[in-house]
Order: sequence, then structure tokens, then C-alpha cells
Amino acid sequence: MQSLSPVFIDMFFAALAGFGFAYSCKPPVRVLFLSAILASIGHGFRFALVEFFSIPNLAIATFAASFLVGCCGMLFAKISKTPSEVIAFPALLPMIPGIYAYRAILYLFSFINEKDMTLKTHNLVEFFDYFLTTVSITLALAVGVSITLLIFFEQSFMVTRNSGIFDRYKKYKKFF
Amino acid sequence: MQKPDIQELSDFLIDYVRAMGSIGTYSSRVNRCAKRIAETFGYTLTLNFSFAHINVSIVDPQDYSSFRSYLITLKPTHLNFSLVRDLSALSWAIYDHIHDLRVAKRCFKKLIRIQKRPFYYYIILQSIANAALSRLFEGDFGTMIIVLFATLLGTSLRVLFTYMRLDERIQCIICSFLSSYLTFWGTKFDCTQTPEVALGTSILYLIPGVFFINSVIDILQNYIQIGISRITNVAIIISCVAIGVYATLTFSNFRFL
Repeated sequence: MQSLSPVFIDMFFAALAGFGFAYSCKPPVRVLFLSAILASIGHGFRFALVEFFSIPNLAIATFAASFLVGCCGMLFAKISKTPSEVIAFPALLPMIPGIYAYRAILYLFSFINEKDMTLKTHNLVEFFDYFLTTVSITLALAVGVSITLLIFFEQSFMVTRNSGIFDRYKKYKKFF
Repeated sequence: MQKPDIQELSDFLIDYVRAMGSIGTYSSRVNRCAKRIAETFGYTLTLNFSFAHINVSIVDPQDYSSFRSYLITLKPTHLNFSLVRDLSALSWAIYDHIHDLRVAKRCFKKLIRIQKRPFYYYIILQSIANAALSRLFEGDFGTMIIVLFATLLGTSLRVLFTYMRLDERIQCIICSFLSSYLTFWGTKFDCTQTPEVALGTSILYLIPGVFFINSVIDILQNYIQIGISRITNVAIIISCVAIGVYATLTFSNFRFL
């Protein structure tokens, strides 16, 4: 049985990243913590899928994790009466495949600068490999969370109803 | 409930749609919330979205001669999810119990009063987040420290540039170059075994992830025109980030490959 500690380490750093990135979106303060929790759940789930369940394709694991984040986001949205995207979107940011994108750029420029034909071909293949991985993971991220929004389409617009922010204006109702 | 004057309602809806369209939410939420408000006051609203503009048409269904149409120019988008929640809640509050346009306007004005958060929180938290991200990409402790400082520099400059109203794309090129170049210098001290991860992660705070997700949602919810426009904008920003990294790679003679 493999140790679970790598998963918890992964979840901890994902929560840290989720919290920081969420702050830049200026969400309500209590939602920041929900985003951090979701980020850790999502990233930890993806990590577990790849490491323990041997899912060979990172894009599929990302899609599953993103879908899970979307579903949990909807649940948290109901509890906190906040639009689900406010909680879920920042939680997805730690899963953006930045390192693959960077490697794709690196190989692209190496391909352009290389004179030797064999190395040039190698760089081109590497570029396409990383580029397609980047695109597929990014799309999996976006589509995974979008599907939950499509499934819970009406609910996603309803969660802010009776949020309590404007309760003091309820007294006006009887005048109109 | 007394029906408000169409001009008065139009003025309010223009402000509402402009605010809602400039804070980083997807189009169908803007559409739903604005329509809900118009219907509460007995009018029909149609919105047509493009990247920098929204076309607003308001008509009284009982008197088609009472009609207004406006083209709203959106402000540059600054993410504000608190405001997304509050404006969305306001539309429901208007629908459920605030049936007076004057009260609705007063609530709206209170909400959009800018509540600034300390910029140094943004800088510090963004830097810690990026450093944590480098760990997720299997960077070592040295990488985390380098990325932390590179992001501190980049985000500080970004705050300054935003204050100076510098174009977002220019901001991305400069911040990307300086963050990655500082990372390149940091790796020279041999404090990290994963310089490639450090360089790759140091610029990730510039990637507009939320905009990308919004654009995919727009496309999936049949707002294809604005979805594609937003994706194009994201691609331009990512290209600007790539230009900054390319400059660093050129100076470092592609040592990371």
C-alpha cells in the first residue's frame, strides 16, 4: 500500500495556491477559504487519480477533478449563497498546466533556432507533444467545470436568492 | 407597483450591465440578472454581447413605441467576485421585495462604491501562491524561494503599472520578462536542482485562467461570438507572456533546455 502523505502534501500546497490566486479575484472573505478547500480537493483528487489509479492521461484526470470541483462548488455555493463560479474558478487555477505550456514555448523557440535537421525534428515533436498536452488539460479544466454549470443551470442562478444582503429592504415590500 | 419611466429604468440598467460586464462573470449571468430587473418593472430587455461592448434594448411590451436602445462600452475587466455575488443578489432582491427603482439605485450605488483591499496583501498572497504552485510542479525548496521573489517583483510592478494605467499586454511582456530574468539570475546561485520548473512557474501568475474558463462557458452556453473574442484576448495575453519568457531565454542562451 502506497503512503498517502504525498497526496496530503499536494493538497496542502494546492490549498495555498488556491487561496492566493483566489484573493486576486476579490471574492468575499469567507469564500476565500472555501476556494482553498476546493483547490486542495481538486488537485489532491487529480494527484490520486494519476498516482494511485494509474490514469495514464493527465487530461482525463484533470477533467474528472474539474468536474468534482464544479459539483463541490455548487454545494458550497448553496451553503454560502454565493455564485458557484466565485468559489470554483479560483480553485481550478492551480491545475493550469503552466509548466507544459512553458516547455512547449521552449521547444518551439529551440525548433526555430536549431540548424541540425534531426534536432529540429526532435524539437518539433516535443513542441507538439507539450502543446497538445497543454491544450487538452486546459480544455478539460474549463469543460469539466462548465458541465456542472450546464447540469445545474437554473440552480446556478438561484443561489444568490435570499442571500440576506438586502433583507433590511424587505420592509419596502408592503408599500408597493 | 407603479411602473417606472423607461428612461429612468434604462439609465439604471445601463449602469448595472456595465458594472456586471466589467467584473469577470460570464455573459449568461449578466443577461439573466439584467432581464430579471427589467421584467420586475414591467419591461422587456434584450442584450447583445461583443468583446468591448454590450448592446442594450429595452421595450415596454404594452407600448412598443416606448423603446430605448444603447451601445455600452465596457471598462477594462477587473475581477471582483464580491461584486458579482452582490449584484446578482441585488437582482433577486429587486425581483422579490425591492419594487422601487429609487431604492434599487441606492443599493446599487452602495455596492459599486469601490472597496479597496490592501495591495500588499495581493502581492504577498500571489507570491506565496506561485511559490506553492512551483512545489506542485515538483520544484524543490530553492525553486520555491526563487519563484517567491520573482513573483514579488512581478506582482509589485503589475500593481504599479495598473495604477499607471499601462496597457495590460505591455504589462504582461514587462512583468513576464523581469520575473523570468530574476529567476534566471536566481538559478545561477545553484540553490535549486529544478531551474526549469522555477522559470516555468515564475510567470504563471500572469496567465488569465478565469477569463479562459469564462470564455469556454460562454461558448458552451451559446454566447459564441463573445466566447471566441475572449479566447482570442486570452491567447494574445499568453503570447505576450511568451514574448517576455523568450527574451529571458535569449539572454540566457537557452540554458534551460
